[in-house]
Amino acid sequence: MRIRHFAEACRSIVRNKMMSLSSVIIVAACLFIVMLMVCLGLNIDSALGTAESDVQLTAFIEDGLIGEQINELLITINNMEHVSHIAFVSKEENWARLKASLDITEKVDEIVTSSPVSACYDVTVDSAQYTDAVVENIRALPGISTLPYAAETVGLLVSLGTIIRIVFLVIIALLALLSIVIITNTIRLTIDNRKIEIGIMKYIGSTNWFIRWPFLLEGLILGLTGALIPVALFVIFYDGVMGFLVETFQFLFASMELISGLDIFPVLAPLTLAIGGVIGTLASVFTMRKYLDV
Amino acid sequence: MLEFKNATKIYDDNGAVALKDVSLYVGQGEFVFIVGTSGSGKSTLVKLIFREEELTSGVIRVNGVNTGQLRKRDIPRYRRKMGIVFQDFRLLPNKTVYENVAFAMEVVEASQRQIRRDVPTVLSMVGLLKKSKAYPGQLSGGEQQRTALARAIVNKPPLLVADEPTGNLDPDTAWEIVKVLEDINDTGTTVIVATHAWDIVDNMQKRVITFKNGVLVSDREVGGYSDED
Repeated sequence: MRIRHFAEACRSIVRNKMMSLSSVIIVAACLFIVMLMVCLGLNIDSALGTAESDVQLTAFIEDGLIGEQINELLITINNMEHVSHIAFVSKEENWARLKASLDITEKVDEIVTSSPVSACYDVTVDSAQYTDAVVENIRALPGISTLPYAAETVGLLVSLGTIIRIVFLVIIALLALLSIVIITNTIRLTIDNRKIEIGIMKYIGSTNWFIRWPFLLEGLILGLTGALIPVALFVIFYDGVMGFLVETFQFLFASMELISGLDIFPVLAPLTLAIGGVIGTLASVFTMRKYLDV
Repeated sequence: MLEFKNATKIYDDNGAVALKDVSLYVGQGEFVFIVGTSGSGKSTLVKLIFREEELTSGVIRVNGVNTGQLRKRDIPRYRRKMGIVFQDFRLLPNKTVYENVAFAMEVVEASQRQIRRDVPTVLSMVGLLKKSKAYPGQLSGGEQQRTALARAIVNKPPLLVADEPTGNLDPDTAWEIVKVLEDINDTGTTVIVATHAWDIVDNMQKRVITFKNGVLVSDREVGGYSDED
């Protein structure tokens, strides 16, 4: 490749400005939609991750266990795989907590003078998919009276998360494929438009690479420019838009942990640019092949 | 310079015999008209010379190169040793007259200094120096063909092949083009012109090779189109 080829590619883009512009717009539109779905998918994945992780369990202790036994049991549970946190809650604390959650403190205190509920451990499991095993292990321990656990609800959450992730992956893959087809066809049209030009070059003795380089660079420039537009839009506006959404729809996003632009774009931006550049270049190369055999 | 030995061309797609057992020789510096009616094989002969088509049987040698033995990747270098002119000019529409001619030099990797030196010279030779900044769309048919001629000769090829170079031109302009071809021939370049413009062939009194249905029917050292009747 020489500077002459690069200059020729730039001149050609300017000369065929309407075709070039439509190629860039189509590449930009396709990659914008793909990026949008990727960002949406990553945020949903993150939200599902938040819901699936840190499953809280309450393991009630048999009445009559003394301090040392309570401590030993706590250590045993804490050492279990996938238990990320454990805290002892005394009978009194547990009762106070229950009253607070039911908002019945004043009325009940007149009737009930001592705690009617047992002491317990608050156990946090690091991931929903391991909850079954942890519950089974804790229940088997002597000193644990009961461990209420809605296995079906947690199972449903895990299955739903898996389905949503698969659906998003399929949508992103299909969109990416569709983008490749649309971008390839657009750049193909740009080059198809100039088949006569390629034929003339061949007649006057141009080698295939002499012809190919400017077209290849042209595809690369169109692909990269098209990719640069959605990347710039996302990098500039993503955090602002997400902030606005969280503020406007607090009820929806309150419990979700959304991903910031800094976490997504160091990978997604160069990846999108690379995809744009590679598709543009390959589309040029494949389209030209049929015209070079003159 | 150029030799056809028992050359036969049959098109694969329709089985048509375009050239049948043709043998001829054109020496360095000659001016030759290839004449015949439509479908006589003139254009096929030109295509075979610049290796757009391959022979079915026989041999073609151009500047000592057997075209049948050319590998695909060697064709561009082979074509650089000849100038080619078509009826429809085949200029690059987005390049100016100067750029169209310069492009032929860029292809052979000439330096910018050489290009700046040779392109104006050749444009001056075909009388287009003043139009060097014009685009093909802004030129008349004759001017476009002169641009094509300038492009064909700018690398000083030993052979110039023209396929119906006056086919799209009025008689006066056609005559101008033929005079330019004669000027080019005077510099020592071998010129082969496939045409059915009988008036030009008659007036030029050069060597005339006549084809009919793919067969070489006559080869006169000096003659005219009408002599064949």
